[in-house]
Amino acid sequence: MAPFVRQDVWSLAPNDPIIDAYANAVAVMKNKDPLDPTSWSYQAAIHGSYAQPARPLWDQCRHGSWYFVVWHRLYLYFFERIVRGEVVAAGGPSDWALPYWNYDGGGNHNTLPLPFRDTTSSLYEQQRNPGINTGAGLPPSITSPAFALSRPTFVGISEFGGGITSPVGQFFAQTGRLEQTPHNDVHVAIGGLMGDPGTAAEDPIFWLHHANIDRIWWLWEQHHTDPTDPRWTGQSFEFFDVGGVQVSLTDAEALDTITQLDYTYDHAPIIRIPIPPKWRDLVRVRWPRPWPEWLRPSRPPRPPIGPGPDPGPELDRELIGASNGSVHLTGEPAQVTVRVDPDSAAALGADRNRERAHRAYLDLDNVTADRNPGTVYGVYVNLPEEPASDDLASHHVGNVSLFGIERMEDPHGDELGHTLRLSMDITELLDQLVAHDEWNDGEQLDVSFRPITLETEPGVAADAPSVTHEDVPIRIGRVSVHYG
Amino acid sequence: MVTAFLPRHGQRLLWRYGPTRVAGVCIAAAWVGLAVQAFQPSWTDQHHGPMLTGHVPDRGVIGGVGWWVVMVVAMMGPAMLGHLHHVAENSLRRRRARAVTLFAAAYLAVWSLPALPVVLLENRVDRDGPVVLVSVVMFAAIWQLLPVTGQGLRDCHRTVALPIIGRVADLAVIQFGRTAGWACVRTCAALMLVTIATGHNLAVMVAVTATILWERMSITPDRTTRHIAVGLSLTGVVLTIGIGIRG
Repeated sequence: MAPFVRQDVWSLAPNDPIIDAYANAVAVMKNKDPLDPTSWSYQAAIHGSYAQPARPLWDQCRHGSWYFVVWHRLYLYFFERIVRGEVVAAGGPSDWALPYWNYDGGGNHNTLPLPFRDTTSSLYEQQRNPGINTGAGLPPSITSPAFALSRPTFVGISEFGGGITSPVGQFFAQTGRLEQTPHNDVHVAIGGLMGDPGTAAEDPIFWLHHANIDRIWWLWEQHHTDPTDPRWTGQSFEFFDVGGVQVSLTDAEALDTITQLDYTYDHAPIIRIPIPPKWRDLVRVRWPRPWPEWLRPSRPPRPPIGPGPDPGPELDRELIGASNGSVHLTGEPAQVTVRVDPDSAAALGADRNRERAHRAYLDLDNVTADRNPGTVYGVYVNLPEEPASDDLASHHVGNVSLFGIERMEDPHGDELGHTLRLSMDITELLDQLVAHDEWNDGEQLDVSFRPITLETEPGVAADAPSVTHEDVPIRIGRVSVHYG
Repeated sequence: MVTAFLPRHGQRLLWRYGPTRVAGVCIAAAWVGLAVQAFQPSWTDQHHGPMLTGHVPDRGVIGGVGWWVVMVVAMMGPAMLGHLHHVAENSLRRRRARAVTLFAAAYLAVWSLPALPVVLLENRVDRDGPVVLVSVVMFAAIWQLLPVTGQGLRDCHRTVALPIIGRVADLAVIQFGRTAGWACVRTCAALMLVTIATGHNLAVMVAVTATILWERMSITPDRTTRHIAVGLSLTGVVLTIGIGIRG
């Protein structure tokens, strides 16, 4: 029997049976007893809930963790089975599968699918950010999976799937690139229930958003390898299946969607990683190229620093520069200078195995906020003073958004108090800057933060952020550059 | 600057093998010292074995504070390796040993503050009296349930953004060591008192270290502190019953 096929919601007519069946099933599930594990509110509470007392399997989502993608894949799988049960019971298509919202699909696909804007539909949610329900588009800097798909490995804070964390607990600071963009950014941009992990799954678009995140992982899996660490593969998670039966699956049982979970996606895997317009020509510069003497401006010799010539053992990632202070983001563009310590960089370069490619990472350390301000900020390196759209695309290295910050910062919550840390690979950008004579001194990087606004029409940003939050600043404790 | 804190060969050690590995060696050495003390013949003969409660050698105030620091290194050290790694990872390579040294010095300085009253009181209290031991255990149980412990435990997990160059970088790691030390004192001082009340009993020190590690590594601090409070309360009840049976 052929696997169930998840389809692009924008490839379906607004009254397609797949969408109608979903809307009807949502309505039925919303009318169920909230204590029924197959009800809408119970299924949403499995992700997160503020209701008390907590019921079995509530508050189980995993974020900032290498378990993020697999937990949500399993979560969607069992939710889809429950919804399909409702669809079939109502006489709908027996091959029903959850559609996905590919907001990066071009044209108007970055706008909320029409049935979800219909105020009479069970798919409508009025608390979404202004503009989302009226057809404003998510900008490509939020929706593009390019940063995630370009990562060669799964495990690591600046890699595809996130860093290693405990399987217990929900919110960690090991966010991978897929989880940050587009996942976290789209959550924050849609806002309302979607902006808070404690309520996100109550919005019907949540499930189509996560189907798309799962699809991006599925695309990545076509050419890359999932973790083989037994701590990951052997980890099991519990959910409710059709009929409210409690079930459990391990990560290793969720790696092949067709043979293990009986579903696939409609399009053949196509990975398109757009090359920023300014950097069409690939260059072969490799670190530590920025530091050769002939590239440095002349300067007096440095006094010897440190007690000896041996700089000590090398870590996997070596810090080579940082900002002097913190940055506060209050809805306006902001900039900070990161000074690279030439001695550290030079010592590191001299020690390196020359056959190993150098990588450079930009880290945002100790990111905090009292609550989620609902704004997504783009992060840019050495952006020109009055950047054109090409400049923005070419110097863009990642985003900052704080989905889930409430849970990390809650002083009364049963959650570790910790801050966020985001990490972005900037190797190729630095190579390009050097090749284009835009980073000749090699000792200073200007890192800019700019709020990303919704698009009023394709390619045209709104005049102002959809929401401004000067009273809820995002604090970035330090911006640092690492070498690995 | 580093020479102000470490002899030259100590710096080389830190440089060559890395601060966290050196810290591991220090922790192991501290445990060896505690074990050697516990198995000293004069002590074991007096107290019928190394694990019993009783008197500790009179080391004087300076020696007592020094012994307290050794205990802190042994018992708190394992839980602090993450902080040391954070300092190391977020410092320039050439300043790494210096940053870790300053952090450790500030941390131990904070822990040394309660040492003085503890040492002064230690030999004035009749620890053979069971009431003291039961009282301290029950006090530690109640302490686990106070908000100060939960908040201290959360603060134990907090890291800070460290500047990387200059005096401001030195001051930042000192401040971080001070903050981490104070959070640690708030969380663990009551458990340390249990160790003191049992006459620096080696088995109790191992158990308390394991408890501190469990508490520190738990990702649900409130639940963990409740579990520890229950465990301490049961211990207190068992001790009370045992004392009653012995008459």
